[in-house]
Amino acid sequence: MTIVTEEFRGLYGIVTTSLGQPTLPAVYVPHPIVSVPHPQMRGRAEPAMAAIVARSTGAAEPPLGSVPQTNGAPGSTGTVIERITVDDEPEAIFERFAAENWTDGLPFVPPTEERVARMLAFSDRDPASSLGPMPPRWGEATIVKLAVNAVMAGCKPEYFPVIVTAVQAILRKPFNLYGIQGTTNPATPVLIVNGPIAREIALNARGNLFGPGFRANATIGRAIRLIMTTIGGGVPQAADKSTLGNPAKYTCCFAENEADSPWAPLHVERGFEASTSTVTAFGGAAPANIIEKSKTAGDMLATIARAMAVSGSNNMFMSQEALVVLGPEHAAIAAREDFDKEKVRQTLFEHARIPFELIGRSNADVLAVWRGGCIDERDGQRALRIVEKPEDIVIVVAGGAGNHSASIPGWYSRSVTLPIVRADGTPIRSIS
Amino acid sequence: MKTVDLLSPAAAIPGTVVPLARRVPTLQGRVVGLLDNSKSGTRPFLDRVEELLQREHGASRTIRYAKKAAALPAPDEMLEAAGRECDVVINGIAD
Repeated sequence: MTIVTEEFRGLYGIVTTSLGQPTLPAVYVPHPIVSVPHPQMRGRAEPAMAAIVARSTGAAEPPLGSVPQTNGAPGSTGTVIERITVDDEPEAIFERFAAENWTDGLPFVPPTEERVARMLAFSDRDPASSLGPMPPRWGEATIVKLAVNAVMAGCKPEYFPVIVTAVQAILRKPFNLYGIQGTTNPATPVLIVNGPIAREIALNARGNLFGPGFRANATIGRAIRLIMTTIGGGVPQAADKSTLGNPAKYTCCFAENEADSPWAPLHVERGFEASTSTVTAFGGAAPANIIEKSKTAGDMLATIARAMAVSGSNNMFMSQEALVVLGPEHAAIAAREDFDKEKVRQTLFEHARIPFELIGRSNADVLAVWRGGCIDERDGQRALRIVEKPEDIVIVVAGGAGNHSASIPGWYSRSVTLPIVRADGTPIRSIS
Repeated sequence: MKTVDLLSPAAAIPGTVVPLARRVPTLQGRVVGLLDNSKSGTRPFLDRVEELLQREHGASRTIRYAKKAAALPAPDEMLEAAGRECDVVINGIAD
């Protein structure tokens, strides 16, 4: 029996529909609960008791039996829509898809059968095969549906292997896609591509990394968001309960700047050959820029660490990992003092602490439970580390000229790196 | 007006129906589990529910389960234990 705050009715409906029990009743109580004083929360129990008891008991058997498969807006019923005939006008096509919650709000490329076939030509998998059900709606992530979404996002067909791999990565359990889809947090998949395929498809690794201007970056990340919406059912406000969202939820995909990095790239650190191309999915918040003009590695890394350890950020509350994107000039300052990646990581870990006096009393009580493994006593000062151990800091070198790096705070999610492979598991060395 | 045929991006959901737990006729003498999603505010609410279940609705025993963090799924072992140990389990979706 489930108790649901009014605000979460939509998400509850999506979950019960996916279980084949769309009419399963819940007990509804007022929203919110986190910001309500505890005595008031106690008081909310009594009015709900009659419903709690009624839903927990009952002589009648619960409704069982088959329900029709649904394919429209979450919670809707009806038959599966595979093909739609629409007036051949951009506005009419947009309105029709928007009515089904099949957009991110931006115009898209109409997914004709011919365009989808061209996308599918870049995969050797059976188009009907599924990478698995995607939460919270548990729609099947079939190859053909990924291709439809990739067309809509504006992807070139040669991007498709990256998209397939990214979906495999976000469906891995440690990534916690169910949580990312439903949370009030702005967390979103941040996709990092390594290896030769990133260069072949001209995925930007340099200037304006998180900004506009590069089709591969813009459309691959967008395809993943569309897939999370149309297949996973993460429709904003209904299932995606993010309070504020974040612009990176439209798209966030970039390549590591391997050419300008003094160190081994992320995928090599994680055991892959340099010639293997990989996609890493990191569940995180929006990039926060760090401008830093120190001339020594120690001073520079201390500033970057402090910018990662900000009171009120995800890195204070819940990051399982913290991502830092080091601009090449910052990486070069560290490298010229013979800092290897491990020394950079260790230095960031040592400095990325938030003193408890900056955290606040009631937050401290929560964090003592949630983040027990991150509490650090040193020189008489009690502080919170942003992650439990140095290995939980993920370092990528990317961006162009200038004294900038970025912190991407994590979430209740662990990054997943997968190789871009054929159906038989052998790495794809080249898109052509 | 000329028309165009397009493919749908949305996927079918599995047609399976997950059966519901059999409902007990009354809570009298039953073991009731309370699964705390670990959000601040859940504990005092469930404290009071627990008191009322025992005092006014005859539950013989209540068992509390707590997720490590709200955004993480309840571990399989916790759900299996709750299924084994309780006649009724109450959980919640809230923030």
